[in-house]
Amino acid sequence: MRLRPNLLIGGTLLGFVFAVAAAALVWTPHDPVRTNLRRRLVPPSQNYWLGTDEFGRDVASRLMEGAVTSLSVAASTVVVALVLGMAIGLAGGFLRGWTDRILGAVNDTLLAFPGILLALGLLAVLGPSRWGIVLALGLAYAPSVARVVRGSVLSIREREFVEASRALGNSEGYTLLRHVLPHTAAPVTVLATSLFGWVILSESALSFLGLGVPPPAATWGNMLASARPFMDQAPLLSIAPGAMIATCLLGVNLLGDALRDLLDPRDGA
Amino acid sequence: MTPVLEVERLSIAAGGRRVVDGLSFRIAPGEALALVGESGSGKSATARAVIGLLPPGLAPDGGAIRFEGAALAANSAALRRLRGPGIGMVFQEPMTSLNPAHRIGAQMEEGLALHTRLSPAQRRDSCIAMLERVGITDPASRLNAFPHEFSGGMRQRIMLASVMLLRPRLLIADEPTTALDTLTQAEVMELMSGLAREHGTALLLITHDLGLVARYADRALVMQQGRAVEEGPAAPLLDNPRQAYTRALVDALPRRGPARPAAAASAPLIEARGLCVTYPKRGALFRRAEIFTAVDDVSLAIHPGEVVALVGGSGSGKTTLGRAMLRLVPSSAGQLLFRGQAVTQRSGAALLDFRLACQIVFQDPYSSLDPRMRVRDIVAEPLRLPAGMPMAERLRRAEVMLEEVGLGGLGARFPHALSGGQRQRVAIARALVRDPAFVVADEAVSALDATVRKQVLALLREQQRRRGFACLFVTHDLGVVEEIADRIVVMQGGRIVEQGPRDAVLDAPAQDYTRALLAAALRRPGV
Amino acid sequence: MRRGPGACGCSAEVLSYVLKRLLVALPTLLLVAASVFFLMRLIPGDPATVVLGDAATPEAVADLRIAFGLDRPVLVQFALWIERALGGDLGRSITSGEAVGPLILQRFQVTAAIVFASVGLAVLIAVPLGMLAAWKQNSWGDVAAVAAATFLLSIPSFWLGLIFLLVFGLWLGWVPVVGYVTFAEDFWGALHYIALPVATLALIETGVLIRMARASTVEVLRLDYIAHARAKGVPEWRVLARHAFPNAFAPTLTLIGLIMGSLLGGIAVIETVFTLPGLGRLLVEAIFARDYPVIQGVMLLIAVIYVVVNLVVDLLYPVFDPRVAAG
Repeated sequence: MRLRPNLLIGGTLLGFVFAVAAAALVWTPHDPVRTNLRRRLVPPSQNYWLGTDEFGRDVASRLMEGAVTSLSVAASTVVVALVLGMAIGLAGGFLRGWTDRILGAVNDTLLAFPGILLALGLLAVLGPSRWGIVLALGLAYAPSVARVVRGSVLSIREREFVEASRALGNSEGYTLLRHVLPHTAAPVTVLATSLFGWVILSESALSFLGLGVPPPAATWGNMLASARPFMDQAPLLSIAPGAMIATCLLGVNLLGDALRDLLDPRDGA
Repeated sequence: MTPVLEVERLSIAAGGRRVVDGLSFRIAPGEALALVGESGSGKSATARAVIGLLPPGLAPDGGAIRFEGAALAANSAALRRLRGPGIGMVFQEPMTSLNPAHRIGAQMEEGLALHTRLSPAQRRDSCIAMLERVGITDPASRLNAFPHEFSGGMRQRIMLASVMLLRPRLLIADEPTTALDTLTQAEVMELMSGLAREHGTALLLITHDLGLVARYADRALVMQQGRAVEEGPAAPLLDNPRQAYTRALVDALPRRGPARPAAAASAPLIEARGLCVTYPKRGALFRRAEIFTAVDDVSLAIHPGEVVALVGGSGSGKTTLGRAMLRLVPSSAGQLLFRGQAVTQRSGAALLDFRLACQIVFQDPYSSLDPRMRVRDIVAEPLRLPAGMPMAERLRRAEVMLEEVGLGGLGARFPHALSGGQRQRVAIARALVRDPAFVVADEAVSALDATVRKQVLALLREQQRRRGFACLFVTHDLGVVEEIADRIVVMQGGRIVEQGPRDAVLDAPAQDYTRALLAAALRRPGV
Repeated sequence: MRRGPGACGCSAEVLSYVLKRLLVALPTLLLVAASVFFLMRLIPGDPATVVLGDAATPEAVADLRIAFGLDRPVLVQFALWIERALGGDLGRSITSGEAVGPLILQRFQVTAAIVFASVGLAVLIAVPLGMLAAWKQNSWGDVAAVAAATFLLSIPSFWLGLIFLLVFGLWLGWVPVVGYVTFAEDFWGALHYIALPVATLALIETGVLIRMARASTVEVLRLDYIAHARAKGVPEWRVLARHAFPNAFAPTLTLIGLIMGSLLGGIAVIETVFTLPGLGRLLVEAIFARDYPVIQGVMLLIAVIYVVVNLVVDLLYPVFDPRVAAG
C-alpha cells in the first residue's frame, strides 16, 4: 500500500537530481569555477539565481556541477564496492573451508572499523583526490557488501531446490550459477541502493572536511565548508548545497524502501 | 441450558472477500465441537474471531457471538477480562507461541496474577501442580527454564498447562498438534481432552484432520470456503456423511490397498550395509564437540519396483537415511551398493551415473522448487544430463510429463502461481522425467491438505505402477503407509527396529514402538 | 534440546557465551591494531623524512630511523608498538611533540560526551515512538512517524548542524557559536556548548531508530506469543511493554552498536561544524599534517571503542533474547 508513494516521491526526487546533473554536462548558467571578486556574495537575482559565493562564483552553476561530481563519484564507488564485495562474498560463500575462513577474518577486521573511519585512514594514505575518494570509500564499504553476499549465498545454499539440483547430478558450478546466484540479485540491489546513499553522504562529509574532491572543483560538501564563515551574511550559501544532499538522500531512501517492498513481498503490508 | 458459545450468522471479511460467510453454531458446556476444513475454509479465522483476535486485514462483517448468553463486543474491556478465565486458546505453532524472552514460570503465572487473588506462593504452587499434571518432570526447577530449552511437544504441554491453569469454560485449540510428530500428537491430544473433561471445559477444536475428530470431538462441523457444509454428532457424520464434500474428506482418509504379490527374488537395486551418518554437535566452550549419530549401523536392501515405507517419529533418523541412500549427505561408515556396485566412494562421472538413476521428492514443495524458474524449465532441467538432448526436445518432454501429472498447459507459470498440490506435482514430474530406477519420497505428501494428499498419493502410486521404479517412502504417518507401501521399515533412534511386509507389520507389530506409532496414527475410523 | 537448567535458569550457558564472546574479541582487537599499524606504513614517504622535512641530511634521517626503530624488521616494529601501546604509550605527535596517549584521551572526553548523550537521547525518544507506530500500524500516526523518520535520516548531520547554528546561535543567540569549555571547568557552560551538536545527532539517529524499532515490533506483533498473551487477557500496554518490547528491542540493540560506531567514525564533521576540540577534529588535522602517530592513535582508539561497544551489545543481547546464549 505504501509502496506507490515511496516509488513516486523517491523517483521524482532522485530524477530531479539526475536531471540537474545531466543538464550540467551540457550547460550551466555561468562557468562554475570562474571567480569574480567584484561580485562576491551577491544575493539571488535574475542573473545569479542563487547568488554568488565568496569568490563571486555563481552558486546555481556550482550546485549543478556538484551534482555531476557527487553522482559520478557515488556511482563509481558503488561499482568498486560491489565488484570487490561480491568477489569476496561469492568466493567465501562458494568455496567455504579455509578460503572462507581467511576472507572472513579479513572482512570482519575491516568491519570492526566504522566505514567512514576506514575511509579517512585510507585517504591519509591515498591523499585527497577524486579517485582517492572512490577507492577509499569503495574499499571501506566493500566488506559490508561481502557480508551480505556471503550471507545470502550461504542461506540459499541450504534451500531445498539447491539440494534438488545436486540430486539431479548437476555440477556445483552449474548449481551455483543457475540456482544460487540469481537469488543474490535482490539483496544486492537493495544494498546497492542504500550504498549509493551512504556514499553520497560520506563523500559530502569528506569534502566538507577538505579531504574530498579538491577545490576549485565544486562539490556540495566543499561548498558547505566554504560557506560556513559567511553563514550570517549569505545563509543561502549554506542552505542550498545541504538541500541538494538531503533531496538526493531522501530520494535514495524512499526508492530503497520501495525496492525492499517490491523484492521482499513479505513486508508489503 | 445456556450454551457456552453461540455463534450466529458470523461473517468475516478480508478486504472485499468473505472468508467466513454466515456461519452459525453453538457449543454446550463441557461439549467438544470440531470445526473441520481444509486450508482456506475459514476455520481458523472463526476461532480467532471468537476470542477477538483476528489478525490485521481480517475484520468481522456482521453476525453475533455470544458467550454464556452475553454478546461479545470486539476489543471491549469485558472481552479482555473474559480472555483467560472464560475463554482460553492454544495455538498451532509451539515454537512461537511461548515468549522466548521470559521464563515459563513467569509466563504461566501472568494469567493467574491478572485474573485471581492468589498470593505469589499460591500461584507458584498452582503452576507446579499444573506442570506436573501435563507431565513435565521436575516442575519446580523447570519453572525457571526458558521456552527454547524445551522440545516442541513439551512446549505444547506447557502452553496447555498455562491456559488450563485458569480453568476456562471454553478452550479453543487451533490445529494444536499439526506441527508435532504422530506420537507426540497423540499424547498432547489425550492430555488436552483429559484436562478439558476434568475441568468441565468445553472444547472448540480447529483441525484439518478427520482422524482427530473421530477420536476427540462430540460433534463436528465441516466447513468449506467459509460456509458450513454439514454438522452433526461426530461418529455418525464420519460413518455416514450426507454431503459430497464431507464424503470426499472421509474418503481421503488413508485406506489400505490390496497387497501386491511379493517381488520375485531378485538382486537388490540399492543396498545399505552397516551405514552410519554422524554429525558433530556444536560443542560448548572447553568441551570437546560431541558426535551425534543420526543413522546407526543400518542395513537395508530395496529391490527393483518395490515400495518401501521408512517410518519413525521425529529424530528417528529416517530423513537422514533417505538422504544418505542418495549420497546427498556423506556417510561416516558402511557401504552403499547400487546394482551390486559400491557407490560410497564414487565421484565425478561414476557418481553422475548413480545420480542419473536416482531421484528425490521433498516434503515442502514451497522450498524445493526454484522460485525464479518457470515450471516447464524446472521439469526440463533434469534432461540436461546426460548431455546431448537438444533444448527443444527437453521442453517437449517436459510438457508431456506435465500433462501426465495433470498440469498440462501450466508450463509457463512460476511456482508461486500454483497451489501446494500442484507444486508437489511439479516436484514429482521433475523427479520422474528422467525415468529413474530409484526414488526417495521424503514426507512427500505430509504438507498437503487431506483431499489433495489423496490425489497426489494416487498420482505417485499410478506412476510407480507404470514406470516400475523402486521407492523409499519416508514418512511419519502410518496412514499414508497403508495406501502405498509393499514393505515397512520402522526406525527409532537411528536404528531399524522392525521391518517386514506391510500387512504383517500393521496387523501384528512386534515392537512396542511400532505399536505406539500405530495407536497414534489417525486412520479411517472403524478400520 | 532439553538440557538441564540450573537453579538460576541457564547460568552455565550464559557464562560460556560470555567467555566465548570475550575470546573472540581478542583476536579481532589484535587484527584491528595490525591493520592500523600497517595501513600507516602505506603512507608514501619515510616517516623519518616526513618528520625532518625534505631538507634533512641523510645522516639525520638514518639516526631518526634508528630512534624510531624503523631499521628493525616490520614484525618486530609491530610487536614493539603493541607492547608500548598496551602500556599506554602511543608515541609523540610529530607536529606538537605531545604524547599521543594523553592527547587523544583528553580529546575523547568531548567526543564521548556528544556521542553517548545523543545516542541515549535518540533511543529514549525513538524506541517508544517506533513501537507505538508499529502498534498502530498503517494508521495516520504510523504513516506520519515513518515519513518523519525517513525525512530525518536523509538530512546530512553537518548541514542540520549549520542550520541549527544559524537559527539558535546567530539569529536567536541562545547558544554560543564557537568555543568549548570542559565539564570540569564549567558544567552548565559545557552543557550549552554540547546542546546543539547533541540535538543535531540525536534528531538524525532518532530517524534511523524509529524505523528499526517499528520494523522489529511489527515483526514481533504478528507472532503467536503476542496473540497468546492477549488470549490470556493481558492488557494492551502490558502486551507491548512486557511481551513485545524485549523481543523487539534485541535487534534494535545491535543497531545502536552500529550507530555508535558510525557516529564515532564520522564525528569529525560535527566537531568541525561546532568547532569542538574532539577526537574527530584531531584526526582530520593529523591527516592534513601527516602526523602519523596521532592518526594511528585515534584510529586505534575509535576502532577499539567500536569493538568494545559491539562486545557490550553482544553481552547484553541475552538479557533480551535468552536463546542467543544457547547458541
